[in-house]
Amino acid sequence: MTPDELNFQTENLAFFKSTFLDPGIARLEFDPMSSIPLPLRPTQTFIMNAVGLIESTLWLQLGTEIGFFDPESALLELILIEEGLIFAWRTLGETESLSRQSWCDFMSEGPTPSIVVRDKFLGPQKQARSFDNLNDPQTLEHVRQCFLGCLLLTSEVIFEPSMMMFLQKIGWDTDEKWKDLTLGYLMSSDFSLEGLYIAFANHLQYLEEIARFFTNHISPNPRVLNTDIMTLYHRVSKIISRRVIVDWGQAKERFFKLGSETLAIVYQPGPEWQQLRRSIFNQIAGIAEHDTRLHPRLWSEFMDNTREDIGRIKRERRFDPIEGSPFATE
Amino acid sequence: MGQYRIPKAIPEFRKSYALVCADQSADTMVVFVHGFGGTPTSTWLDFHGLVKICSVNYPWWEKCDLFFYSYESLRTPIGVNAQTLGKFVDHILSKDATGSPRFPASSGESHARLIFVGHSEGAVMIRRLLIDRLNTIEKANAHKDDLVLKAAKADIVLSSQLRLFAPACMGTNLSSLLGFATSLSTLVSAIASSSLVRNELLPNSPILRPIESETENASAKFQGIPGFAAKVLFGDHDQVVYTASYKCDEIAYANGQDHFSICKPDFSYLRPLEFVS
Repeated sequence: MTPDELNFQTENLAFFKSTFLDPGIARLEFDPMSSIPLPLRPTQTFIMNAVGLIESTLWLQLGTEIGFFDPESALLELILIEEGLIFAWRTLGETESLSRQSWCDFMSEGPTPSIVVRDKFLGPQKQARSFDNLNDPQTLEHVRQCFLGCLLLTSEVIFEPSMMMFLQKIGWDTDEKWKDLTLGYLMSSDFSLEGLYIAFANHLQYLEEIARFFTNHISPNPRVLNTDIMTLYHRVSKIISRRVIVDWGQAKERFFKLGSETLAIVYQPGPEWQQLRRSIFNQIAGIAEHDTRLHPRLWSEFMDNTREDIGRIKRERRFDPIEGSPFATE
Repeated sequence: MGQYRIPKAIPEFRKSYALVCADQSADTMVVFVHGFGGTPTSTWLDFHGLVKICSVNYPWWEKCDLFFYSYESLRTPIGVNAQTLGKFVDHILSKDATGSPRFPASSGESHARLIFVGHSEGAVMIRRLLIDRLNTIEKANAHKDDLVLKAAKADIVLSSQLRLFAPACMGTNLSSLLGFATSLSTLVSAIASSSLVRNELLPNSPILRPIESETENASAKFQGIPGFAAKVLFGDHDQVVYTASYKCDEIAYANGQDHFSICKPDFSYLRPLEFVS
């Protein structure tokens, strides 16, 4: 290995450590409820913090596989966070928060994993596409550049407090709590209702950005399809799959509902707003429902919900004692 | 292929980061400032790879370290964000506890040349920063023009070059939801259309008007200071901002680009690479 290559890997790992691993482990360690035994432990964002830490180590594993990180140093980092990692993995299992199957293959088997299997961390990945042409310097360079792009995009959302709060709540709050939240009853000073909507929008934007990024890179030249970039796309999709969240319970329904409420807030009669509604529906449907045959029905429900939300917001404004009666003089 | 750049986190400023030349061969720092509702990576990601891949045709980029500034753009007033941007620039030009530059250039010292690249609201912040900087220097030099000019020329921020993509300097047309509906991040934009900063970005707002008049005055008065006159690029499909700028600016238009695509180079649209250089 050349000194340049070693420097490249060392600096990459330093960046990764400060943006992924350190915040990830800090959020688990500083969790004020972490000393309380399961199953009482999960706090407001605990499940998503656990997901975030596992996800971080999957990024570390993928980066090591493509030589973005030095394997020995990566393994050392893994050892340093092993305790937190096991804790996070066990929590996800015991709280039955989400499916752990076929997501992370280097944790030991069984209901209460006690070790990280290092050979699996560094070895070929089970049930995962493998790269074909990393011996070609140009391909390797391209794959690493795309990997860095994905890391940078992800670094903006992973462990971002409002995002973690949003994902946790949309995935695991009861219907009653969720309703109270969206009405603003359960908001705190560090998580406003506006923050909820912004986190929702940022979440959708992140998933779209990842998809757009790969669309631009899989085939920049229409005649050449880069299979290793496609492989990278599949691997990245698998890593972030638990963050997508829509497979969990009622989250999908809540996605559409939030979209509808957002539209009602910015409602103004006219073709532009209608176009905005279509655009937002497509954005949510593209992520929440891959079966396009269901889209017409979802669109119809979405239109009904939007109408309902506009009516509700108008009624609330009419009787809002703070805002007065904007419709009283009409 | 050009040389590689290594990522450096700058956690003192939210999610800001840098991509610096691995061999410390840069002499120029390019500071990218995203716009309303954006993020550093979603706005500028396309630059990362292309400056490297296209280095044969655009070798100028080989001498640049890239800094991507992150800030809260929807709810924080522009004036506050401009001040924080100033602190960010001071930080990346500063020395660490051992006395070494945090981001050394080819000289071993801090960079000698600075280029600001702003998109939309980011452009407004940059211009506010420059005016604030001039005001500070004027006060420190008792408004004596010759002393002010000398001090301003020595200031890297005021001596910077400005490259502004679809600047919101003359205001946004945020009543046009259509502008948002054609963008990628429609939901962010919809929420943004009801935010605090939206009002600051309305044409002739009490925030935008003084930036315009003070910049034009400063540009006329201190012609030796390059930072006040910007190069501006609008897309001819932009429906979000008013496609006009200050008298001192040089404006160009890109065919087929909208408010969001204007700053996103790809293999069929390399103009942003050329525009910044």
